[in-house]
Amino acid sequence: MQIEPTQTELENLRQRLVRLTIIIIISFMILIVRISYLQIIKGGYYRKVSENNRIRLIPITSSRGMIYDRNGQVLAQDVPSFDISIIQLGLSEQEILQTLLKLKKIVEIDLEEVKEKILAKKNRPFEPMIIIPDVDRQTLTRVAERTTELPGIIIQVNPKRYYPYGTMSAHILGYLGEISREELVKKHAEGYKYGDSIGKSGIEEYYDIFLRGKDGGKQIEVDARGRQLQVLGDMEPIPGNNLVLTLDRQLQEIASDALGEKSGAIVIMNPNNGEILAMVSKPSFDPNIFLRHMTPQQANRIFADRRYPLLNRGIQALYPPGSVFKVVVAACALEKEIIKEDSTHSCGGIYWLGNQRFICYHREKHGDMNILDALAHSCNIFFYQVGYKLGADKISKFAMEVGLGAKTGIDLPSEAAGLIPTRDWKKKRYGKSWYGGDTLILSIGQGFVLTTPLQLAHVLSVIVNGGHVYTPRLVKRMIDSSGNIKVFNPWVKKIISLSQQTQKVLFEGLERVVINGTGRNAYLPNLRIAGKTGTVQNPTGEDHALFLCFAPVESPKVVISVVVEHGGKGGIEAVPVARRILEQIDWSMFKEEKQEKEE
Amino acid sequence: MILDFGLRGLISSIENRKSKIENSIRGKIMLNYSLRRGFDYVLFIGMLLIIFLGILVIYSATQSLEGNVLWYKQVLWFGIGLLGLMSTVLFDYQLLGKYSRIIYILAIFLLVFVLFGGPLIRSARSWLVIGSFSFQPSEFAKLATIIIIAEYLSTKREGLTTISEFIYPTTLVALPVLLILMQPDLGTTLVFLPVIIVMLYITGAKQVYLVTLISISILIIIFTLFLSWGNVHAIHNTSVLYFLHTWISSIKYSAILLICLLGIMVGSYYILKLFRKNIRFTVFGLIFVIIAVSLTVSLMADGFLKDYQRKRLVVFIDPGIDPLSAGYNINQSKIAIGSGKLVGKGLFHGTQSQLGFLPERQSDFIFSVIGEELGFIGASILLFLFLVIIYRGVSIAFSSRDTFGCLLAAGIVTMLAVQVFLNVGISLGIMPVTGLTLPLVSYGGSSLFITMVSIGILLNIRLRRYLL
Repeated sequence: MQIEPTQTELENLRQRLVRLTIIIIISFMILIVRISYLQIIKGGYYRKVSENNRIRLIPITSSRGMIYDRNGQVLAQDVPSFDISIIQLGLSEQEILQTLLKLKKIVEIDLEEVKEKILAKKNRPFEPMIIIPDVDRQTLTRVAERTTELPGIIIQVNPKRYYPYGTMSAHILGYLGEISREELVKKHAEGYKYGDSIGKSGIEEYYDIFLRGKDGGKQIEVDARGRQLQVLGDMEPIPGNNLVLTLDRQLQEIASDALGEKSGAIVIMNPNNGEILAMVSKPSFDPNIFLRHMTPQQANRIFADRRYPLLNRGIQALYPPGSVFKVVVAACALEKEIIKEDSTHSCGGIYWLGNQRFICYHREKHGDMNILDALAHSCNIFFYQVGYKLGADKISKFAMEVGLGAKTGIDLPSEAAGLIPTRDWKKKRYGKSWYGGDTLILSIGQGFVLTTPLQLAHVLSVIVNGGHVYTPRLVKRMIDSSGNIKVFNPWVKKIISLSQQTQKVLFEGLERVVINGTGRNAYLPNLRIAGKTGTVQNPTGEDHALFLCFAPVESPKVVISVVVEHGGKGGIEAVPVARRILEQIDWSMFKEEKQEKEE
Repeated sequence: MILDFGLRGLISSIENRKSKIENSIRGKIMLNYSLRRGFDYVLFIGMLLIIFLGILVIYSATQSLEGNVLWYKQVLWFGIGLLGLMSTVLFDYQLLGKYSRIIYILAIFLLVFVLFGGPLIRSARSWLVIGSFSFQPSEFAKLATIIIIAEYLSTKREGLTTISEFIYPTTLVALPVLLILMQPDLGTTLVFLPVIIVMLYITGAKQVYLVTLISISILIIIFTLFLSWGNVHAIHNTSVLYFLHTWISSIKYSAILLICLLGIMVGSYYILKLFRKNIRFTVFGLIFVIIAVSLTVSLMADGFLKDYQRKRLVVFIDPGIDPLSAGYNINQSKIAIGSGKLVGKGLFHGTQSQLGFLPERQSDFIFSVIGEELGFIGASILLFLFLVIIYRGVSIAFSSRDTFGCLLAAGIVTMLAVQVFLNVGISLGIMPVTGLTLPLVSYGGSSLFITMVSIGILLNIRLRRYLL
């Protein structure tokens, strides 16, 4: 039985009810504050997030530009690759596993690795994930026949980079790979994104921004399960630019064959405009295996090879030029008028500087000789004397002027600069002053001097063309997707003074090298060739053999620089390589050039 | 405090009217007068508006679903609820007090029955299914518990003074709480705790009891959160938390822990006594009891909870633990509400809800749909309507002629307020996700029916405020 509460009791009860109401109102205030924060203050942000939720951009990859040689032969192109992929959308983990087990019966797959990959992509189930990239036709048909039994499995056609000539010009063209984290950080602003392919070396790297097109995309509205509801926008991809190289595929092949299996490099360039006609580096690699389908064994073979097949010896390997450097010293001496065509120096086999003894090659006694004979027989003692008269400063300065000791500026990445020693450099590097002996060693191209095969060809080009320092280059034309052509003209970096007299003496001396000197193995009856051999001692094994030449002497068209690593004597190993090239060279390509110019 | 003055003004006006009426003739004439003048239209219409808004939003949230029958079902339940409300209004609410024990026992019976005989729906046994008709006994148990506690406390004239008077109602609450926890349904159990605390407070329980209950409630929540955290980490099998969890959750070690705790309590009591600090032993005893009880309840709760429920809880303190499923829900809800901005994307045009990014959008996260489609204005109007109902409820408690009616009304109002606060708080990301419906709005027959019946009781108390 209820009893009527007293007034004070009711009073107390009601007081507490008031407090309860206050607490409730405060808690509702908290909610309102939070709602205003989310909707009013951060409303714009959340509106954007909700748009991102519902609108998805499906990228359409653009095709990469093709690379042609100077005659229009394809050196690199995109070809379709058939990939077996899976779309996880709407499949349970169990179903995916069953599919994979069925697939394993048809094709060889690493189940654990695939499972891991699938798990990593769980939050984007609508994106197809490649399980087996680039399958052969046989596997393709076997899988295609059974797609109905394999839920989620689809066959995708993705572009794949293909280099028809494989190893032949691998170093120049480079290869593609997936963009790395560091590259992404650096190049994000240029429109690169995660998962993109990017050139990792050679032309593919240097001209990547031109070769890669602009990816297109489809803007679609999706629901929470990622199903497409409607297309909101569409943007066509823009294909990349095609490149026409200065390279001559045939000449490249000739050079590659001429070098054979030996380690080394060949650079062939046109001295009259700086065009690289061929550049070979051995050992080489097959760039086709780099994008996507490289087995661990293949990767290991390339990266762990002690002969460094990835190194482009033409521009990245540094060799002391040895006797080849005498061309530079001779040019300098003639230009500074230290010697004349007929001034002689005597070679007695031994040269004394104070109490230091310097010997001529194999202690030969060449007797009295002028510059022509000294070049032909590569007399060290002649050049010791000339070099000593000139002084190290003048030699270094001249060498740098013609383009040694600095990057030539060729359109390839990671070019080595080489080294021309100077007094200051030695002081800084070793803390020692420059001795007379250093000058002597410098004048025969030994000691500290380091050059790349390209630099040697570059230097000879400057001497041959009468002082025009062209930037060596590999790209002739660039053609964009709408057919506009951009021509890359020869670029003269600077012109140095080189008298005709100097040129004439050098031409004669260098031709004598081939006629009856150290380079006589290169002699061809119907072609006037001039060159200089070099043999470079190196601590790791046999001497490197060098040969630097140009032809024809009456109107030079090519400069060839050959380095055969551990080849022994330059005259025996490097010279025949150059001769084989010169024998087979197709001179008609230079005629066309002239016609082109006239037009 | 303007509000305070307002209420005081109300009190005095009611007081005046009451004394006037007391002097006049009582009886049948009064009933007629009361029924005509006493029906709380504001409360009733406020409720109807909220329900209509709810049906509209359910229609919007589920229009992409096949068949789209949910709103129709909700309308049906609204009809049934209206019948329930009317029949509740008809008889004197004093009858509820009279039959409170039978109602309570029925509720407990249903809770036990559903644990053993109920089907497993979404990995919980919370539903009674008879044919195509399903009902949640826990909703009924909430109301039944409020009734029996109101009945018990109304007999305590001078407020609660002895321990037994405190323990009895606590036990009445603990029983359904445990049974519901075993389903497991954490959200519903969390509603009980504030309700009992408020009812005890209004009765005028001694402060020490209230402090004890509040500390136990808070500690239960904290302990459960941390135990779940450890448990979730146990799945990942790393970190110190895993070690701590396995250690505490084994009964042997938790017993040792409690004994050590007891030792420390006794020890520190004597040490303090040594320094002649005058502290009563019961304080230490109480602290021990608080910790022991809350730890035990938390351990039980942790044992009952399913993995997905633990994760939902834990994301609140450790958002990184499962961003794709547990964290996903709360994120999508925040995005939905935030993207609504001031006026919303328009009814039926919310992208988050219509395209399926929002989970449980017709039940637990229905507030997010309102926020997205109707914006800040819609959300504020809804909360305002709830405040109106709560305000009417409180004034009904005010004007009640007896303590039972007052406590009953206060209990119902608290239940409503707590559910609204928790549900909206979860949608806004300021409360851990426990799984709770928004009363009158969320899709769900039993919730709607029981809430309407509860409002019927409020109307009833209002109608009969002048009668004895």
